[in-house]
Amino acid sequence: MSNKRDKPSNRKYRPQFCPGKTLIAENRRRYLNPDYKLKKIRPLSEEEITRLLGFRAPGEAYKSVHPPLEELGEPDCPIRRLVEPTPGAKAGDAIKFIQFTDSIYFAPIMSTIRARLYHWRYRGCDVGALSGRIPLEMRERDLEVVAKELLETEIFDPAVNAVRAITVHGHSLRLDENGIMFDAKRRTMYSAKDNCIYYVKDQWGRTLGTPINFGTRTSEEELKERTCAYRTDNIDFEEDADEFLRTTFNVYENRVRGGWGKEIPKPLKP
Amino acid sequence: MREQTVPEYVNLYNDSGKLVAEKVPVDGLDPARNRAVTRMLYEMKRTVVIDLDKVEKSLRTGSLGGEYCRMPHYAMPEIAIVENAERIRERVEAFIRTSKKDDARVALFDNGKRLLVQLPRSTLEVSADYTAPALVGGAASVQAIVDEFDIDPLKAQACASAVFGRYPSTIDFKGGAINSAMGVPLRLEHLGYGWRTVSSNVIVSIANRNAMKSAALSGCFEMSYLVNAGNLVGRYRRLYLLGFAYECLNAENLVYNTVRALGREGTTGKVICEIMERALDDGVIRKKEALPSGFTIYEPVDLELWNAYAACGMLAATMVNCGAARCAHSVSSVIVNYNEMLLNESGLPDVEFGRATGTGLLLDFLTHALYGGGEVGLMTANHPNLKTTKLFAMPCVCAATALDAGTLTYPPEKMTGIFSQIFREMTEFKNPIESIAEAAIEAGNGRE
Repeated sequence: MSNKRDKPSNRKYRPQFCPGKTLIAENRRRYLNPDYKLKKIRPLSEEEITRLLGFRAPGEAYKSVHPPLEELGEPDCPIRRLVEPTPGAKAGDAIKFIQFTDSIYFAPIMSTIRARLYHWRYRGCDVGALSGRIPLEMRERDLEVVAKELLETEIFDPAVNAVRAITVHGHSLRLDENGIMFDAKRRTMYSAKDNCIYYVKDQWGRTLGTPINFGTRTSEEELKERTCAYRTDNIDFEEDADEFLRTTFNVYENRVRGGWGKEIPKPLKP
Repeated sequence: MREQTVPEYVNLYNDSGKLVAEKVPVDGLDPARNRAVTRMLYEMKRTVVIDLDKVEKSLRTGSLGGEYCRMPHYAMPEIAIVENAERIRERVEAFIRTSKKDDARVALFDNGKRLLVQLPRSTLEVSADYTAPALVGGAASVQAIVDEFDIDPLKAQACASAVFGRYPSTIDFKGGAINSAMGVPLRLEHLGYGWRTVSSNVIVSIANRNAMKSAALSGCFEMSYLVNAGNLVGRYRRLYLLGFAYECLNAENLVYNTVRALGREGTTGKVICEIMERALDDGVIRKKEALPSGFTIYEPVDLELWNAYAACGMLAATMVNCGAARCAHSVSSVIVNYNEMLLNESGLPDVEFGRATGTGLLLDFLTHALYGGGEVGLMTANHPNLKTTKLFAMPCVCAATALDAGTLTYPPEKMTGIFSQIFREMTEFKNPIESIAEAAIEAGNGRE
């Protein structure tokens, strides 16, 4: 490989993220693209993020799982010299997590796309996508930085996305009269006074001293514009099915060819 | 009959990205033809470590065979095994030597706390499987202790339990003092899985926590399993030989260069872009069709070589992501999402045609306390999960373990540090890529 390609800006290949020509596919490409800056729609302070995560009191030192790398002295490995550790790894922070539950009712983002978003955008992330919840594990101070972006921007809506470390049930249930996703621990509260949604408990369901204001919920019309999930009552998957299926067919055709170790087997005679 | 050959050559680069050998015949990387790999396997196969310190503690207290088993009436509070380790070593050596000039080796480590036993070639040739070192070494140690301390017949059985643990009541040496790099045959998932029982921790210990060497050594064991299990014949031969060369031995410097380019700011997604660009430049893949949205579907020109490129990307993504967090646990997440993103990105098949994705998914459950299971460092390719991907997943797991800075509960140093000391001086383990390249060239020359 020539040296000129070492800089990311010199690369010719432009990622395409996923097929599809509808708004949904465009949203997916927008969210996944690390060069696209997610639109900020609410300000949250670092202290509020810390309180919401519930691992330490604001101002308290980060818990560490090993001494800082400088003190520890790293083994002689060329890969370690090439790969820059994140600030959390440098300090030896413990691994902590944030877990999201995303409603099937037009949430801007959901598990599968979230997992890909994390791996397109963030370094040192550990994510496991499940149908109704999606934990993201990272070194604690790295997690706080990432969580801030995830909670402040257009991919989070307080009514249909939720931060839940435990008791996650609710992603597939109908929304309540205020359009908010069911939560057995009632971590969020709708205030009719200012039409805002507040987190009154942290992600573990422990009551917060001061509620955290996440602003107003987004209207269903706008969510339909922002979501990256196909739905028959919004943009049907059928509209993009042709492109997706052609891509998937290509994958499977080659998988069969590779698994069989030769050309595609001939069809059996009827 | 025509000989099976893969008429291709690769350039191999070492863990620092320096060219070590040009035009290495891929066929010479087959463990059955490669002297360096054969030597590694031989040394591993004949080696066992007896934990004399543990034997002494067990006999002094009567705690035999692990948890819940205390038999104070068997206790010998005065026994001083570690203190007399040298005499025990001499006795053991006398038991296992078959001739004065054989290659048996019996040595003490950690101030007499550990006894290394390496059986001579002649004993191994007689044995039907690879259990001889554990059984011969164990039996020799028991007898040496009984003889040295003149122990009576009733208490001699306690000595056997202190060394062998609950075996033969259990199928392995549960609670015993025998440390072997390999698991017992009764624990094999399938026939021919012997080389897959070497855990990630052992490999990382031998490689002294060097990520690239860990991947290389892991690849050697996986390839040897493929030979053993009949997977390296016929139509799949080229797939695995190329995978081994590119992913594990850094062929064409693909892994190293990718990590170098993306080490500071890279993510899993950016690694995919790098691999796609390189594959396009090298003509390994090409555009197949453009869809109305502008999305381009690619197809492999050379499917097996593309698989090797994709596997390189998977290892590089592991190094970038796990390396950035200096934490091994995210390897499963990288395996799943790298492959998932790759096929959504291009329409190309993922690593080993879907098997890696499946492995990554279950590995995620097993290493994140959803299904119990275990830690990344304790994983072996003999596990019901990792066995499903041949060759390609285990190097990633080993590289991730090597890059961990201390988040593991059972790190290599604590579990298997002794293997690092034993094989420290062996060139093949010290510089696997160089040794294997040299031996492959030799093998190629011999055939012409």
